[in-house]
Amino acid sequence: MAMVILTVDDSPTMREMMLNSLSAMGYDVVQAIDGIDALEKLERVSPSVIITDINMPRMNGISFIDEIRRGGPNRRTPILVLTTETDPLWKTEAKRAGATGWITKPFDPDRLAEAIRRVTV
Amino acid sequence: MTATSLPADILAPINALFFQECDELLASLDQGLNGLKRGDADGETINMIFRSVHSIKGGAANFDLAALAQFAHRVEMALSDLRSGKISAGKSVLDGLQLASDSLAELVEEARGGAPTDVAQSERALKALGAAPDISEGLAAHNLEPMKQPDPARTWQFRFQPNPSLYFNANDPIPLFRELGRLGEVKLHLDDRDLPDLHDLTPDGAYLAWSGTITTQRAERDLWNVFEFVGGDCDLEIALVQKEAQGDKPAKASGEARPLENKRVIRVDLERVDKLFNLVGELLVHQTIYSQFALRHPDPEAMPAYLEFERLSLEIQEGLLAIRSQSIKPIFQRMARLVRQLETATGKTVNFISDGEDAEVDRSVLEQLSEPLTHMIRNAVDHGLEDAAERARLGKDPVGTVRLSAYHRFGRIFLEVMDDGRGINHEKVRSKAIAKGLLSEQALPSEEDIEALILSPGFSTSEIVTDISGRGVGMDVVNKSVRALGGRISIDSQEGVGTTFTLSLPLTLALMDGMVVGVGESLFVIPVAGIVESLQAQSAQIKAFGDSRLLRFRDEYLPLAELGKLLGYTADARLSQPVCLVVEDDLSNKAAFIVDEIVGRQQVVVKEIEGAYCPSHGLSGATILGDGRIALIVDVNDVVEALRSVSDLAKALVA
Repeated sequence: MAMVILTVDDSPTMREMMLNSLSAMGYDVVQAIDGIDALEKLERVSPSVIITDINMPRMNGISFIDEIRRGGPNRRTPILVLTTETDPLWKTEAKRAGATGWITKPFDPDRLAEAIRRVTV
Repeated sequence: MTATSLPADILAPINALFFQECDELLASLDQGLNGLKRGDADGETINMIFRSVHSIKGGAANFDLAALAQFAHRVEMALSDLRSGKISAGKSVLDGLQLASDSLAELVEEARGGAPTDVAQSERALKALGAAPDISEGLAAHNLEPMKQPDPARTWQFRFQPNPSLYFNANDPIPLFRELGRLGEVKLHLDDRDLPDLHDLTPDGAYLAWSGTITTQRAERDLWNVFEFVGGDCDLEIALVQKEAQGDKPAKASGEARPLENKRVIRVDLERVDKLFNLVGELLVHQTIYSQFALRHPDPEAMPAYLEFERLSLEIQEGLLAIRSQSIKPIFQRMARLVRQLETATGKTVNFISDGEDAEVDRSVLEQLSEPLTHMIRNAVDHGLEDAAERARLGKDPVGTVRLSAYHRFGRIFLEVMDDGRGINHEKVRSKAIAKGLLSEQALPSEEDIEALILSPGFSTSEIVTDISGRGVGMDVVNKSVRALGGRISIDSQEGVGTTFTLSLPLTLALMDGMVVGVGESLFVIPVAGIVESLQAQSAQIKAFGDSRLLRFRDEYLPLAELGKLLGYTADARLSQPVCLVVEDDLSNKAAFIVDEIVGRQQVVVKEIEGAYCPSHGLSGATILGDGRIALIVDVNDVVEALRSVSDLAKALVA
């Protein structure tokens, strides 16, 4: 059974790119458009990895990570932060909230694959 | 730059070479696959397959053969899972590998100008291998290392200890090691020392650490990069394992088997260690006192506990000495520099070999090694080795060899300086000794006598006082200072073949086996090494000559003095049947002195005396005893020297 990956991004283009890349790598992809949507999806699926944007409406990536790490069945699910922010402060902030790793946009499928490998057993 | 940017006339032969190499690589790929099918799923077989594919990939990238390079790259990725053990060499994988191998061969043919490859087959092959579909259009250039001269593989050691936050953030050590494994060959060791009992274990804790080595051609940055996500969530050390120095000795310490635990270092203020050392010294004193008590009042119930106490005391002492001990490497390096300087000064070429530089000695000894070693090395190069012309004439290698070795034995450190020079000319030593009045004309000194003569005061056999060794300081001076430290020098020489000087020293100078004696209100410690005998002298044994007294001891008369008066402490020693200690200096000159009482023998921690107390007063240091009292350590050499005039009188009396 293929690994399930939950992607959380408000940009349809990014969601589409990730869907294509991840499917091509052989993963099953579940999409969410922001943190709230993602939390709802998580009630039905248990992904192997969550990939989330940081800047999103309604619930941003940091609050979303906070919420997951607070407890519940997904509190030990690896979370990769996908962001254009090259500012190291964002990484620090995400890490403090409990992010497992990060992928910097622009999008490089190789880096994406590598990041997933690094956080999945 | 790829090979294709080269002019055609240069490219053609390189191209041909590449295809030839491809054929060889495909052959070894086949060989590896056959091995796998036979069940040889060992690391070497898989490595052979991996290397073949990797080399084809590298070459193809270099020749801009994109299709071949990309296919090889994807096969390689799948193989790395096989190599890391993520997938095992089952039937479907073997079939996939066979298909992939065939496709590689076809792609090579195609690149050579043959028929186009069956793309469907190559995709099937990859699918069977579980390889990721081709998502890497144009395959980023950095993934295909051009076939430049590969950097030599280096071995790094690492230690990785996750903090709880690492697990909280859902990171996991396993994928990190797997990633590390993609960069090179990893050897991993789990350190579970901190793992508590089950009922003390909390799920959020981080109890495990890993250490290991990785041998890779990749840059250090790539290694750190694997741990990019866990920076701040772990303790991570990555250090290059030092290359074993080139030489004829086996590469025994070349890192990879060395447990990394030893590499974890903390800095400690020396003062703290020394303070602890003093306390341990006191502990040993009490242990000695207690042992005497235990012997006088044996109690079978208390005995096991006492024995354990004794064992622990000694182990603590050893452990602390190990903490204070330092590598002699810096001194060896200094000696290597010295040899180079001597080469310039003498015009001789020297093959300098050093051996055992990892040996460790206590700090106190380390400080004392340099001077005698310097002298021995100078001697070896300057006096020992012949010049190139003479060596050639003698049929020897014109380049002389000097070997410096260190080793531990019998709880001592041994340092050997060996040269393959002219050796010691016995006749020259003999005639010089005669000229100096040390030997009679008829004397035929033995090997041992020769050794003793060389080490005796004022003796130097060098005919020409050279700029290097002849500074008025001979082996005798070195010998004296070495003996003062409880060390010994021995000489082994064969004329025409070479000389070996061996220096041995105790591993520490900070502890001493001492005899505690009482004089009046004061306590003194006399090094046991310098004591010949203690006795209660009968009045018939003592002869008085004016202010001086002599003790008849065996067949000779020894100068006798009250220790208290000798050291400037006024004390009225008991003069009827006084307690006498017969001592001997480094050159076997004896003397005797009177003390009030012998308190006992014990290990003492030697402290240097500073300031007002001048050590030349016959004292070499001080120690603090178990009851807090201070005892001064007697310098036997000085005391015997002080009694020299009486000594001459004593000799005259015998003669």
